[in-house]
Amino acid sequence: MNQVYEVIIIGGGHAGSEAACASARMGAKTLLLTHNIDTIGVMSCNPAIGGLGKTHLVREIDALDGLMGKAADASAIHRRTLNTSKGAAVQAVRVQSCRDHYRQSIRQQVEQTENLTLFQSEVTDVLIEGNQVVGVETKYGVRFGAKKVILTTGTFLAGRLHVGTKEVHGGRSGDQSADVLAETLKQHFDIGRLKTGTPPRIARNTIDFSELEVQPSDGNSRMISALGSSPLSPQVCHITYTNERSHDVIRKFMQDSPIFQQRQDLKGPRYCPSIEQKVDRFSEKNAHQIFIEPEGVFSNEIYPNGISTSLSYEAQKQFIATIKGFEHAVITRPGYAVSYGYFDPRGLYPWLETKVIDGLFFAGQINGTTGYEEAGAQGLMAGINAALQLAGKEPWVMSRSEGYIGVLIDDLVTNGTIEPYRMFTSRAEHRLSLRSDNAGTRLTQKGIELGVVKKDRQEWFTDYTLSYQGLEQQMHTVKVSVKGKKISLAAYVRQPNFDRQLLEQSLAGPYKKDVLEDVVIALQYTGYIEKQARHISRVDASDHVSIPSGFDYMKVKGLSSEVSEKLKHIQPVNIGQARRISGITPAAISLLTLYLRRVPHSV
Amino acid sequence: MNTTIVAPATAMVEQPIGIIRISGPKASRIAGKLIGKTEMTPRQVYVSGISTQHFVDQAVVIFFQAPYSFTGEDVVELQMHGNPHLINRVVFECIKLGAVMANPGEFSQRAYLNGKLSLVQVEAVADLIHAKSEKAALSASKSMSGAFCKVIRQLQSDMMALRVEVEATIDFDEDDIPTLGLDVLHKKLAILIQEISTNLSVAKSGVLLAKCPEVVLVGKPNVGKSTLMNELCGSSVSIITEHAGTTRDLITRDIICNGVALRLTDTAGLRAAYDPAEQEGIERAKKVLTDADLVLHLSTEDELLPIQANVPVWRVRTKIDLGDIQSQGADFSISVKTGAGISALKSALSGFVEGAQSQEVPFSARQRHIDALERVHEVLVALSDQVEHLDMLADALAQSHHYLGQIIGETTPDDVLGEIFSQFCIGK
Repeated sequence: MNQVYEVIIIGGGHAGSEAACASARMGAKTLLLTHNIDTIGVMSCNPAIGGLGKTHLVREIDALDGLMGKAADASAIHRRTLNTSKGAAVQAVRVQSCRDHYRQSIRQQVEQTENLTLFQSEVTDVLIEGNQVVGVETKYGVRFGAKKVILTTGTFLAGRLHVGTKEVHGGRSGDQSADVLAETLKQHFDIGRLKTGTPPRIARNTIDFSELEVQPSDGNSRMISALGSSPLSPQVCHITYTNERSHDVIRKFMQDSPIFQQRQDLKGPRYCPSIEQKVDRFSEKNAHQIFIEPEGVFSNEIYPNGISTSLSYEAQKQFIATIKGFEHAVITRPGYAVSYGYFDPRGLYPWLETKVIDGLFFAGQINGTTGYEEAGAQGLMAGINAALQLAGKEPWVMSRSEGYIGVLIDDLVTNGTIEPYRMFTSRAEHRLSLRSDNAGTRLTQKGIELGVVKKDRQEWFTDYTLSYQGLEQQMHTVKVSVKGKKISLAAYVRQPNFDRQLLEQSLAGPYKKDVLEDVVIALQYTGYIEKQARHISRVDASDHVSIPSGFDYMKVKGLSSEVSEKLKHIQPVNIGQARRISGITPAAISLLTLYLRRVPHSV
Repeated sequence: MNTTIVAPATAMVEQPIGIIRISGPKASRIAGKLIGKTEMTPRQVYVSGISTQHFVDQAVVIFFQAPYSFTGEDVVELQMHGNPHLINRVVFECIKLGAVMANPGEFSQRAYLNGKLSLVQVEAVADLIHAKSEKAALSASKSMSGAFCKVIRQLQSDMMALRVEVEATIDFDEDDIPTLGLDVLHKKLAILIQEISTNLSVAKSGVLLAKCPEVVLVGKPNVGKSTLMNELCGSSVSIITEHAGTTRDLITRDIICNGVALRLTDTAGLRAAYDPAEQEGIERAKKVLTDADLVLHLSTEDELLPIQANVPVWRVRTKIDLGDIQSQGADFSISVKTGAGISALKSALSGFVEGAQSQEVPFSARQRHIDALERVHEVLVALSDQVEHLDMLADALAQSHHYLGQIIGETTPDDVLGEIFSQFCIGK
């Protein structure tokens, strides 16, 4: 070995940078290996952070002192609050970022993290002894030793780019794919293939904005990070639409392109179809909306969100020209589809370590997810767990009731995925208690105990908690008169359309408006959640019964061979996870529970 | 294990004695209320009247105090007249007083967890629970009449439609999805609640749910299906003629066979027919096979019809009085004319029905359906005038959908998402 570290992260994307920093924050001597240091924190898809379910993930990453939230605020040039009138649990702030500022912020945070070293080189081999990872080897033969290795190679695993009928090797436009590493890993893991796409980029100064719908930035929206600030001046976004003429062009080129039909076999995301798929599947729609998102402060490019495509450049040129505002638009980079390898995440434990090789962790797109937020969340958890394992501590598995990160990872390791997995709020059965506003309350204390939260956030949390508790107490003790009746503020804010002014006047002392907002939301939701709790107990008491590793399911009489094969393959860590595996019957669960919970017979 | 469970411990058929078992911390309190005692002494035999809203009956009641009982918990056994209707009423009464319906094998499961059963017994219990639950799962839809099944499927699809609209509005705020007004939503919700409460009251009256084991007679024309039917019914219900193809319609009778109830269906002669009326009868015969619990396949020769059924099929060789009896491979050989083999067939039939019924399925499955519907109703009513936000409404809908799913199969979040993607063009 040329050099020895404790934790090595391969890949400097959204998963890799969170993983590296989390591991280093917890005190592990960490090395981040990337094939190009300048691409750390690059947004390879659209220049935006957040969205429904996604913002929730970023808030949770932030609560555990991750990088993404701060970078999103630091690079924000347009903000928007989604679902403003649909309830706090499903509200989310999404920001458009300046790509350069985002990358800069991530890189800065990475470089300022103690215990973390960067090294640029392509990794060609993961070194394994027995079934234990011992290090990695890079392209030029340099070997780095480490007990824990986290693989966050994104779409780089045997990536293929498709433009029209052309197919080239590559991870994303302009970068090389890590084919050598892919070959190595194929010896140990099953690789599946997924695809995703991007739209063509367009030169901003060739677009006629005068007739387009304007979407201004929402100046009142909150920061994504609890420690965030947004120094950049806001920009406006615009919306335009495709039309029947555009669809005619697309249809014409689709027919000419046999590869379009072939490509349908590759699993692309259902929620992010290419424009040709939209036209094909929803032929009755005569317009599809396009969000025109600026790429950044210094950039002349825009990202036309909604028209990702893998049609030929000629087709792209022609259909773009039919769109209002784009009549004279110049394409700066053609859109393309990328197909890439991923590992079936059912090969992972819920702490993201592979079941086959001890000490090897996978995080991010390599596990079949899509999105910066989903990647970052896994990276963070892999980093935390690698460091915990190194210190000989129990892994930390976030439960589905603790956070969206828990939902994400449980979904992946329990049932795998057949399309790029993206978070939605509807995936979280505890949606009402997993809100953006309470991410800190839910997770920061745990982060402090784990040692992943640094001093400045610890101080923020102490301040926040103090003022939160002060306000909460006032809510219960201060009374207001409503229709001649005296009721507590806590009861008052649960009334529909209560008077915010009356609330604010009734409270003593200086307080932060944001904190008050959080207190009010929490009171409203706790009321509802408690009311509903009478109807339902969602978590079965036996869900926490753990299943020993290497458990022999053949010992449980009565399990069908199909069920025991499935359980043996997935190796659920507890009854709850076993219950959620698709195809596992309630009968199988009661048999298993019975077996695991039995009391020794006295005879 | 702090719930108190209740279930009939004997088969739900007419018989001299029926036993109900209650196990759990509230067992003696619930039983005490039934017989008007504030306290019950362990191991004492009480002979007392039990009165429900509809019946008064005499019962023998014994209280076994924990840990000296079958389950190791407080257990009360009520022995009364073995009338299924009466037993049902008393079980309902126990549920009203705070007990919950036991799951298949739950008494044995509790006994096991409390160390009351040995390792060998444990494995037997495991088999039992497995068999019972599988049977329950398989027959969940079978134990419902076609009409009830249809009702539930309709509710399920209405609920899904509503959820798809709500969830699409929430998760795809920026996508091109038609806006959903809260007033429209509440109107749709009100319709759904109305639908549920109507069906709930029908279901409670038992009209839609009632189903006893169904035995279907099939076979080529003129093999003696109607003759056997009449023999088993003890009266002439089918038109019997010498000509093949007389029974054109399905004839169904509920009969008591050796003391157990079963529903007997005589099918039209299965053969290629050109008469349109007969054609229809044959179609119906095929359909009734899918709902059957047992098929009696009658024939006078060794050549058999290709019968497709997922239930046991017994081969019955008929008219053995006609001589030359070489009934190879037949399960039963009978002659209605001479009475040969009839009593053997009857006792096999009653044995089969008892076997099927002792698995608790028809009763407990039905009770569970009503429970689930009631919960759905409760959740929806609670939310209809109180929900301020769409997210809370979505949550209540998801909960009630979950309860509905307990009747005919769960819907996963991914199912809902899949439905959204197929209906709306998503993809900002």
